Amino acid sequence: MNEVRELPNEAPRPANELEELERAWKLPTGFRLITAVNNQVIGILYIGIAFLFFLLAGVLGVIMRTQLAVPENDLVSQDLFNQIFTVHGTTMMFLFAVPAMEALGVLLLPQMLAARDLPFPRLSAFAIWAYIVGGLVFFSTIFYDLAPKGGWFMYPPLTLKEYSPGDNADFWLLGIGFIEISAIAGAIEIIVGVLRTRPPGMSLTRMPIFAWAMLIFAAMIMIAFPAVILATMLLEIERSFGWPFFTADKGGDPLLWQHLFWFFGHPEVYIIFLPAAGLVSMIVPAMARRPLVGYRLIVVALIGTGFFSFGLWVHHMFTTGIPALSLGFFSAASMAVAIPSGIQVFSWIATIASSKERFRITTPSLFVLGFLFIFTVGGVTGVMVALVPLDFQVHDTYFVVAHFHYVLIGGMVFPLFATFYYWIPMVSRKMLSERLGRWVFWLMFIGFNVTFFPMHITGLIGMPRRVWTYPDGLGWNTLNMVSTVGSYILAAGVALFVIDLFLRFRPTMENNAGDPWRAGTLEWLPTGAYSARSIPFVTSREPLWDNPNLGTEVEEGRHFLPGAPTGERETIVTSPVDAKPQYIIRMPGPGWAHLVAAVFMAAAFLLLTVKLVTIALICAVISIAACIVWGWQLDHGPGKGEVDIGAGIKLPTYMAGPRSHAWWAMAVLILVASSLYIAYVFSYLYLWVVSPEVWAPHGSPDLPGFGWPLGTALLLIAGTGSMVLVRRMLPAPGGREPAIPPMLALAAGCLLAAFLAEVWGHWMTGLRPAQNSYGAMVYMASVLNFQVVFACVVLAGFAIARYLTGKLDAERRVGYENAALLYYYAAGQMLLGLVLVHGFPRLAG
Amino acid sequence: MRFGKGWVFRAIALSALPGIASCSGVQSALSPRGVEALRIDPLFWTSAAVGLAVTLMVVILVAAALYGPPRWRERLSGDRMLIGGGIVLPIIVLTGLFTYGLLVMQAGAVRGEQETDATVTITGKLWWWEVVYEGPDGKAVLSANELRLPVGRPVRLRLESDNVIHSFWAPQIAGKLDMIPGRTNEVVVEATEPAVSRGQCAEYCGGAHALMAFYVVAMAQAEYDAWLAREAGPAVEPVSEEAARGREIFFEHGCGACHQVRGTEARGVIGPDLTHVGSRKSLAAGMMSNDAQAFARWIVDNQHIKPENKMPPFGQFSEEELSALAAYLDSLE
Amino acid sequence: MTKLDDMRRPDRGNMLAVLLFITAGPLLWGLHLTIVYMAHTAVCALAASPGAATAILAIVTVALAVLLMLILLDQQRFARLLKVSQEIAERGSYDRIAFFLTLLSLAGILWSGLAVTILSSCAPGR
Repeated sequence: MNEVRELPNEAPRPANELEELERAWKLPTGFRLITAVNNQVIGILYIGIAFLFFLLAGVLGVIMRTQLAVPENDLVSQDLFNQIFTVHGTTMMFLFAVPAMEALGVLLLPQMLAARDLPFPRLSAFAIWAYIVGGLVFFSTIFYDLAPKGGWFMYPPLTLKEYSPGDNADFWLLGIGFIEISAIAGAIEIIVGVLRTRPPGMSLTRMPIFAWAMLIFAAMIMIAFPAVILATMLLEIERSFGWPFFTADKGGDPLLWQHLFWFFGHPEVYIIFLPAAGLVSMIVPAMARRPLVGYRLIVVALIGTGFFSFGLWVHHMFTTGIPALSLGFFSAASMAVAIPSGIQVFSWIATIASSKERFRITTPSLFVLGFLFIFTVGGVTGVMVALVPLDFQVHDTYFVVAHFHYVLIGGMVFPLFATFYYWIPMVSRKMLSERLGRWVFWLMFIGFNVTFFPMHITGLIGMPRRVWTYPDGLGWNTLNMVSTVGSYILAAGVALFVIDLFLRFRPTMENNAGDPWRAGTLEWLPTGAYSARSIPFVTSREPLWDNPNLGTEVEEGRHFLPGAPTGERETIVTSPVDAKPQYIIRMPGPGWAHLVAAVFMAAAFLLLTVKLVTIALICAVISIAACIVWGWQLDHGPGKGEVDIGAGIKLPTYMAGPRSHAWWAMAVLILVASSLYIAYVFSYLYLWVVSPEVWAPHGSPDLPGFGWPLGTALLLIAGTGSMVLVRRMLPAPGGREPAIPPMLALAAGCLLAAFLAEVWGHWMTGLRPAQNSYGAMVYMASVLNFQVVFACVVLAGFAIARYLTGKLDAERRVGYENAALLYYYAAGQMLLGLVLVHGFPRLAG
Repeated sequence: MRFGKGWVFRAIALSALPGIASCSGVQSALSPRGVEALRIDPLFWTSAAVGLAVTLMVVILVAAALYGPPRWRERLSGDRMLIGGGIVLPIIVLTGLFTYGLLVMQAGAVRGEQETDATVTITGKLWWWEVVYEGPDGKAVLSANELRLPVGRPVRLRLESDNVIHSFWAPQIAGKLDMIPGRTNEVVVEATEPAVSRGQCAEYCGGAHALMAFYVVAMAQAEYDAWLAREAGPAVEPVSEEAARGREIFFEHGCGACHQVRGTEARGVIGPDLTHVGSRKSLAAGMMSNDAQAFARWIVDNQHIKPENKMPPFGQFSEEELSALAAYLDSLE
Repeated sequence: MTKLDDMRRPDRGNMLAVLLFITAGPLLWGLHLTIVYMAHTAVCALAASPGAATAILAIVTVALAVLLMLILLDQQRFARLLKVSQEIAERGSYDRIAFFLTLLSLAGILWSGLAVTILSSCAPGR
């Protein structure tokens, strides 16, 4: 009855095949290790730095608890305390939680997908280095009184120049804005990685749940982060140049910030939680030794959470005086988002119940059980704060502090510790101690509940959040003291974990501790620096359970792509739905360009913060130059022909057009740019609803005549036409077409001219951006246009250079395609902007 | 059982909750003395009870999944359990809670639209509260850091800010509502019994946010009317010699540039109105008890008592001058 | 035929069609929230007519709820409409995922409808 298993390749393999594979994936040694891009190396670096930020911000938390242990304490001054809680929140959210999850994506995803690496190894390395430099400098501001003190959500007007002079707030805005960019780079990597580098046969419905979770995580980042990027841009521009987006006297509105910030901020909580839930969905079946019960319902829950979490942002604004029914809609969405969590909790319980024999109680499973309990409590209080009238009382009190620590520590930190204990055998020579692990768990679990449970009550009996001290006699003393004691117990648990790390964590790529759990997914295949020796053919969700010999088969090279046929780093790109092999992607190895680009870009942002504009610009130029050098090396061309990956499948080693990973990355980037622009359109319309009286034609100079937008539109159409024509004119390999450089230059010129015409037209009417919120919004459209226009001009210049050096033709055309795709988007965005800026006031006025 | 220790602690904490509620302080949302707070209170207890039930259910199910007999475990791992417990049950429970929440909200919305015969405008300052009543003759009566309410009569609060965002929260009376520059938020409150309670700024407003409190004094209608009539009047003349000397010092040192004392030439509008400051429950926005000593301390040491506040410390007074000044201010009842 | 042969044939799955098929419910839920939130804000700010606001919200809610129910009732026709191939691996899983997502979205829309029923339009939050 046994089906004959046909394997893609024959063993034994040629003798030099493994050597070649090893040579291609060899790590740089010595100090050059910092140029490494292997996902296992930079993944561990990434998660290590994120964990460092967890420890640092945790110390700040303990300092706060110490200050609040007794009433009227003066251990920490008011000003320092305000900086500490701002940095604590900001670091935990932006420098720990999101990066830690992205780091797990970088580290675990390629292993789970048995891909040799993520599709853009240098992009992830770039994102990581930018984050490390930017993050460390941001955090260090706490040591020299330069830290922001507006709270992690930085509400204006408090954060405007008038109420927050000094550079403190700018460090938040530029530092965080910059780290958001790095998060988006990671998200692009993850989306393309999950959809295109799965092993042959792993259809969407056979993906490990963690891959689903990361896919939705990355998609949410794409939609949510642009909103906060726009918000930070608006606030920084108002602080630096006085464009009144948030100043009520000039037609701005402080609530605009809250809308934009929470449109990011609420999904952010789920952005953090979803990957953690995905990790739990991996660990529970492994400990139960049974497949996840309700795999498809878990997918439903992940996707549902992803969507519904975008309908909750007003949840944080229930007390701002918004009409009752509007609050009702968002309260309803808050109810909707609770159900996916219910599904997941019941699915985990069902899987535990279905265990073969009994559910194994190991340190990872303890953390998972602790998570289940804490997260349930956090979910329950989440429903409570979603009840609008109840939120009127508990909003901005310690009840909310308790709630979100239950959700975040319960929903993310406990699964993360489970992850550490569970996956460290995959990347370390030794596993962590199960005995110490139990101590770590119980200290953390008890410490956590002792710290945060009393806070529910502290909040209900009146203690607001973000207070550096409180008076005696309000009944808060005992509860606060208990919380402080709890925080020390929690900290002791974390400290014990750090000790265990020092004792036993020995990173390695070749001799890991193996699979102590007998799990079913591909990350437990035997690996080297090249990941799995051959890329397995997958026919189920738990390939290692369904085929116990899979490890041996893979190790013997009997699955796909057992060597490095092009002599370089490569992996298989498969189709997005059913994962059928499409082509071989040739990936870059170690390099300096991305590193230089990252460090100088971080330097540019930070120098800008302290107003050293000239040096900042120099750094920016160096960074862009490094990016160009980096990009120049990527488009290899079809020179290597086709290779046989096994089973008689021959794949090309080069791909252009809609199937190529470059095309996909650009498409994702365009989605990011468009969500940024949609957030702008929302802001424009929102400020109009709030202050129609400053809008043209009544409150501001009349719009420029119809000729202006019409001329601008014609320029855009001409440029687009020129770009389209270039595609038709691309010569066959080896041929020439001298018109290409001027045509590309013409397209870039048209775009630049259109941008300038739009600015100039408004300037001529006498409208100034600092005049009122209308003026600010009109010119803001051009600020956003400038970003894409600048990128298009650089890419067009790049394409021209590629052509002139003979690296651009009808086949080898990725350099052109990237420029063209972004160009079409830029033209579209600017046309939409013309309709909005020139059409809307005429219609509404 | 593995859950042992943590669970026992939690059970104790939860059972202690009602106890804490009954003896809780003047700033507790769990001892409501206002119409809105009284409406929210049962919503809280209902949702807390439902939450407790849900948590208990999950704990019991996890325990059963871990250690239950095979028959239970088999039932727990079925699709029916998953859809029933993960989808159907939450939908039913949430619909119930949500409807209850909406009904409470609608009651508040209806109340917000009704006519009231008293209006108080409260403006959030850095870091104190300006409170403006409508006097008996319709004129504005300026006061600060204290809200007086007539028991049993709805009063409309108009909440504003001319600087950063604050949030007005008197937990025993009603839920909080933000004060946002460029907007006026309104809420109708009604105290149900004569009592003194405390409130505090709930939206982080920078600097001394933690030190921005106030008292709510709910009093019988007749008392309230008498109080308002007195509050609308000018400041009393100093009776003691020391207080009279204090008044001279008050003007010599330019205190009137920032503070107003109605009935004198002090017309400042930067700091709180001091016309009847001696009759208030507290000084410095709920930070100190109100007596002559406190005035003296505040004048000299205010940057320590409330760091970053906008009043400079006045250290130049001799001891006699200071006590005279304090006596004058204390006499402004 | 072995399973490996399948890897040699081109992928029939259209990514966008599959994506649209499974997320149609949540997308319509998002559309509903956007419309009711914006319509309520705009009608109350510009026309100040609670009656008109409630009528519009009720119509939008019923329309979208009915649309979602239709999708639930004849999922296969909807899949054909979107040109979701029958030949992709484990096609039934996508049906089930789409079904439950649509169901949850319907619950979300109906909860919004409940808010419209109970709360008066254009009234202040308190």
